[in-house]
Amino acid sequence: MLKKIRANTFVATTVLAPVTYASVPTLALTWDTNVNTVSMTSSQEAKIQRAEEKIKAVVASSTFRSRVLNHTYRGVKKFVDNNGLTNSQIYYKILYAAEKLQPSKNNTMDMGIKTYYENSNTVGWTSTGSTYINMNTKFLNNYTSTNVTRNMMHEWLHKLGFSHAVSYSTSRDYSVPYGIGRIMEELAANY
Amino acid sequence: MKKLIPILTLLICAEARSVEVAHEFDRKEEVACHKEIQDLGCVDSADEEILDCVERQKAKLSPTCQSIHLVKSQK
Ligand SMILES: [Zn+2]
Repeated sequence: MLKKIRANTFVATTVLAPVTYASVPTLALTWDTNVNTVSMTSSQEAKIQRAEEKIKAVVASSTFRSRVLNHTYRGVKKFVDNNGLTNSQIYYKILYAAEKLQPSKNNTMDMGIKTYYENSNTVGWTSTGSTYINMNTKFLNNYTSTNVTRNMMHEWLHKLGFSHAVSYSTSRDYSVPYGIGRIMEELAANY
Repeated sequence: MKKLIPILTLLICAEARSVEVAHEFDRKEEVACHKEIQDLGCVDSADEEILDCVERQKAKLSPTCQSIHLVKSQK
């Protein structure tokens, strides 16, 4: 049951938890980032900050909500390796933002980023035993802030407890980290 | 306390085992490597790479693909 209060703005007239405004939950609008960077150059730091702004704008958008809720794998609305969660539950898990190692539902992406250089094809790595992610500067220095949003979102989704197959396969692209990382990058390009 | 030690050891071991490390590779190179692995006949019907099949034939892979395989097989 929706009541039109302004052009294109609807509020729920029945009690829904969480209450939605302008077709996204309030949690999407209040969602924040708390990213701690370690020994980065000023340009790397600026790129991360810009990426954080883009990630916040994307999470607050109704397009992001719609893309996550309508994500489809082989004709079924779901993600691969979804930990038994529906698309809607995955969306709210992102909004609650309770990382495995920082489990309060604080509505904030909590994460640290360390850099390293390696002349390899590894973009970065993360361990479920750490609150940090590791970015290879060989890639970070050439990435745009939009590319960085994909990597940050992907790695952070590991912190929320999502995983994916080790090796590439077409289905792996539909896992939560790859699928939502890709959605993030696509939408971040608009900001 | 003595009785607790085996239980604590078990818990610590279980915790250590549950830590997973995920590496992300350059997408273009990873997709090209997957194609090489497919050409070796080491991809199953679900498009998943069969790591021990790759291991047996890794010398046939390009150096880039070999290095990706090395990281994956260290897991
Ligand atoms: Zn990953």
